[in-house]
Formats: sequence, structure tokens, C-alpha cells
Amino acid sequence: MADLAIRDLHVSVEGKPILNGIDLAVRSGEAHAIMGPNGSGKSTLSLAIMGHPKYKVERGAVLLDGIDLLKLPVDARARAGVFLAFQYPSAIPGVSVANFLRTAINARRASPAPDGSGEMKKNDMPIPQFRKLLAEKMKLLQIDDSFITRSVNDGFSGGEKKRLEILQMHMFQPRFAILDETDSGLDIDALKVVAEGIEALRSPDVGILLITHYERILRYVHPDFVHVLVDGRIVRTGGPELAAELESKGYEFVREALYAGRA
Amino acid sequence: MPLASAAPLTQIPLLLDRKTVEQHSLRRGEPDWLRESRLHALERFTPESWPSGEEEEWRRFPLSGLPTGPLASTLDHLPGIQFKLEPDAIAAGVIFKGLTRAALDNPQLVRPHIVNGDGIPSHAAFRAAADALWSAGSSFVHVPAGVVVRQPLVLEKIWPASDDAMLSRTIVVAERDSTVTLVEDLSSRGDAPRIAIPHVEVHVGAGARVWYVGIRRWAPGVLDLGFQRYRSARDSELRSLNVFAGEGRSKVGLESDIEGDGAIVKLFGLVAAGDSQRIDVNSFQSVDGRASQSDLLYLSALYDRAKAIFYGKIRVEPTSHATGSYQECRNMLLSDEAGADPIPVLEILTNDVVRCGHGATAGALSDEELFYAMSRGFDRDEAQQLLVHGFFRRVINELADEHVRQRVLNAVRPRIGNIAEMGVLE
Repeated sequence: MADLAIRDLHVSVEGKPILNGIDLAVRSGEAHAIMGPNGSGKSTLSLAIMGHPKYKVERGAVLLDGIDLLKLPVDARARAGVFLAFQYPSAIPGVSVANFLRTAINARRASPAPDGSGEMKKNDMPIPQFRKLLAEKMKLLQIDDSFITRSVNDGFSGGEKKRLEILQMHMFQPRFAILDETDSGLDIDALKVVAEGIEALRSPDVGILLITHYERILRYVHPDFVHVLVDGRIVRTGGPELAAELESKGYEFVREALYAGRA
Repeated sequence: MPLASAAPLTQIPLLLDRKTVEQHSLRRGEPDWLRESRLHALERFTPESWPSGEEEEWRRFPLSGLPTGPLASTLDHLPGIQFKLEPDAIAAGVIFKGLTRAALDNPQLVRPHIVNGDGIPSHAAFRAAADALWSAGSSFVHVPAGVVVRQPLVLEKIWPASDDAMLSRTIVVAERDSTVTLVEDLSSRGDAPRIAIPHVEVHVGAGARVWYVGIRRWAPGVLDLGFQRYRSARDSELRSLNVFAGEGRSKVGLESDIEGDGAIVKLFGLVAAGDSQRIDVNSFQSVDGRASQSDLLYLSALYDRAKAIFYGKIRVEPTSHATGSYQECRNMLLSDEAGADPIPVLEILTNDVVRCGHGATAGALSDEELFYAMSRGFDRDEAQQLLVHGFFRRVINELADEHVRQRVLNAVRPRIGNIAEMGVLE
């Protein structure tokens, strides 16, 4: 069991405050959806947790089992068990999907040498084991074999990029997965496959934070909690029924209720 | 009569005279015609041939502090060099041996090609010096018409420690409809300042297919002033790759001349440089004939204070028709102090052109790509290694032979790292 606790998180981008105090706790086994209109700070939340250099944490903490992730470099956050499925994944020309996955797995399996030299001790996954794991996951996610020899995200369609994010998520076996608008830009068939991929990850050992603009994906992925993010704050929290309410009434309804309450 | 009387040597910082050249040849027991060719080359080693530094090709490469070791080396053979030929290639009459040996055994094949060390003016002096005083590490390849050499011919040329200059000639003659790959892996030992001038000439006969791969991994004190010339006959295909690894400085001239219809030329380059290395390449692609193609792609990964300069010219000849040509130079700057200066020049002397263009860039790694890779668990250094491997892959993928690929990767690995043993899973 593990806990991801976001406490009073304030984040700015180029001097402009975007997140204004986020508090959220995700336990392993739980799936949380964060919904919000464009510009509410959804992607900022995910990129700040992962450590994008453009996103400046002004205040607050993100604790994974009590360890503040914000004090760790990006790669250490990943190795600690956090995975971010990007809304806009980067292309890495010249690096095949297979080699990318294999070298990433091996980088994650390395650990500091016991002699304290600062060198990393390798613990590479044997190639047959890697091949077997990859074949299993590709079957699960209905990914074509030709995928693995192509360069990472290079010339990929929107749907292919999202599938590769989900494939990586399954290969790396994270403790917490953050999915940043993984549903955007997908047709209904691709959405189903991606959503099934997310559902397949669910287990008592994994916590999920699903960030989305639309309620659509929540027909296939069933969160335990739904949070509404507006203007950099979580303004409402509820169960799955909250998503349906948002779908019918829209975000303006929440925003109006919020500011009416304040006035 | 020494050349010095006709052209005052004081203007040329390298000492090279008739007596030295004659003795060099006599000591090596060479036939008269070969000695004559050396002396003929010497005549072209004139003050006029020496770069003034004003030339476009030389403005960015200071020729100061020339190593002062002897130009004439008494080393006749590189230790350990092996000319390995498959039995079927031997049976088909392929010649692959040291240039001196070939001159003695096969004078009728060598003689026509040893005299014409012509080429673009930028390297005239160094070409002349190499042609006059070449010694250990010189090689000759001749592939008879129609013969396909399946295995790449590989030469590991390792010059032992010394301050002697490393002057060599490589002559490749691929006759009509033949196929051959030559890989030359050049390296040197010791830290003494010394000059290297590898002079490479490749004659690609009509319909022939040639791959030339030149890998340079010089020791730190080396000043490399090499020159390569490719001559392509009709319907031939030439591919060449120059890999600049190691720790030396290079100022290399490349010339490609298309001399017939339908010839295809692809010139590739990889530069993996660091410390205060300077790798300066000037190229000249002459595009002629009907429907010929000449494309160049140079990729540099530059670390520390390294600098890559690329001055490349394409000339689409007035007698050409419907040709295609391109020059692309991409530089990845991996340190704030690294620099690149890509300078493309196009001279299009006809309206009958299908395509002619250039692309040049120099820039740091993308922050987004680095972040993406790091979010997968690669530390910054590993992420950088991965991106550079991917960047180089575009050229590495051109090499069909796995052993040749591995050799190229081995050469650049000290600079770009070993994160990705590419090819294992593909």
C-alpha cells in the first residue's frame, strides 16, 4: 500500500500562478478523476508532479509515502514509481519503441552501487524476459507488431501516441499513474482500447489519477472519486455521479456556484 | 635541381624537397615510374598551393602551430595491418593490398591512377605532400568488371607512437558493374603533435556500387589535413561515410564529381567531438549528367568546447539535365561552449534542375524531449545519450552490414555513451 498526498500545491508558469493550493490524497487501489475546463490547471498539475522545468512550485508538497517528490529529479520520481502518460508525448527520432522500452526498463532497474561511488549498478532484464513481457502487453493492448520497430512517437497518429503511453505504463508497472487527457483526440474505438488499458492496470497496488476534460472516458474507466478543478483549485469532490452532473450542466455551472457562494 | 630554387621554401612551413622525396622512394625500392609520380606530385607543392587563410575554406581553421616532426616517415608498414579477402574474391581477381605491393605486383592497374591526384584547390598542398611522401598505411583496391565483393573489406590502420607525419594514399578502383565496400578505421598512438594526410581516391565505374567508410580516431596531438575525391561514372552508386571520432583536429576536403548520366552519390558524415576539438570539413559536389543525384548529410554531436565547421558547395554544372542534389548539416550542441558553423553554398548553372537545396541547423537538445525521456526513468546523462544515439541513427541505419555498424558505434561510443546498444532487438 502506498499514498500519494498533494498538499497545498501552488505552481506558476513564467510568473503566472496556475495552481492555487491543491490538496488531494490518492491511495493505491483507488482511481481518481480530475475534471476541469480548459485552462483550469489540469496539465499543470500533472507536469508539476512529474517535474517539468517550466512549472515552478511556489509552495506545497507532493508526498509519496512521506517522501517529497518535489525534491527529487525527474528520473528519480519515475523510479520512485510515478508514471505520467503525456497529453503531448515527444517524438524521439531514431530510437525504436523496443529499444526505448528496454533501455528505460534497464535504467529503472539499476540501483546505486553499494560501494557508495555514485555509480549505478546494472541489473538488466534478460532479453527473453523482456520480449515475453512486451509480447504480453502488446497483446493486451491490441498493438500491432510493426509498432515496436518504429521510432518513438515519430510520425505517430494521435491514437498511436496514446497507445504507446499506455504500453509504457504497463511495461514500467508504476505505483501511481497520472493520465493527462489521454482520451483527447481519440476516436471511439481507440478510446475503448485506451480505457481498457487503464482499467487493466487497476489493482490494489496501483493508484490512478485520470485527468480529463470530458466525461466520455468515464463510461469505460470507473473512478472512485471525481474532483473538479477550476481556476487552479479543487472546488468539488464527489463520486462517479459528479461526472454525470458535469456532463449535463457544464463547468460554468460549477464556476457560477463557486463564485456565487463566495460573494 | 631542388624545387626550392623555383619556389622559396621559406613561405611554406613544411619542409619538402626533391632529395627527400627521391631518397624516400629509393630506400623503399620503388620502380622508376612510381618515383617519377612522387616527384611529379612534389612539383605541385608550391607556395601558391599553400592556403593563405583568406580562402573561404580556410578562414575558420587556423593553420598555425603546425607539428614539426618529419614529413617523410621511415615506417613502411603499419604493424598488424591485414588485407583479408574471401577466397571467391581472390578467385575473381580482386586486388586488395598495400599500395607499394600493388605497384610492384600490378603496375598496369596502379599506374593509371597514381598520377592524377587532382582536385579542388583547398587541399592542393596537402594532397601534393601526401602524393610525394606517402608511406605506411597506403592501400589499393581493384575490383574487376562485374565482380561483386560480398564481405566488406576492412582495414584497421593503427599508426604507432611517433612524431612522424602519417601520409597515406588509398586508391579504390571499382570497374564497370562491380560492387565493393571498403572500411578504413584510422587511429594513432601517442600524444606527440603530428600531421596526418590520408588521401583517398575512389573511382566508381559505370554501373558500379561502392561504399566507402572512413573512421578517424586520432590521438590528441594529430592535425588531420586529409582529402577525398570520388569520381562517379554513369549509372553508378557511391555511398560514403566519414566518421570523425577520437581526439584529433581535422580539416578535411571532400570532392565528388559526377561524370556520367544517372549516377547516384550519397555522402554521409558523423562528427562526435569534445574537449577543444575542431572538425572542419569543406565539400564540393559537382553534379553533372542527366538525372544524376548527389546528396550530403552530415550530423554532429558536439561536447565541451568542440567546434564543427562545415563549408559545403554544390555546383550543378551547365551541361547537366534534370539532376537532384541536397546538402544537409545538423549540429547538436551538448554544451554551452560547443559551437557549429554550417555554411552551404549552391551554384546552379542551369535551369534544368529537378531539385537542389540545403538545410543547416545548430542547436541544443530539446527540453521537451529531455523531460520526456527523464520522466521514463533515464537520468539526464542517459537521456542525452539516448537522444544523441537517435540523432545519429539516421546515418547509422544507412549501413547495411551489422559489423560495420558496430565498428562505427564503437568509434563514437567514447563520446556519445553506450546507453543504447541499438540493433539488438530489431
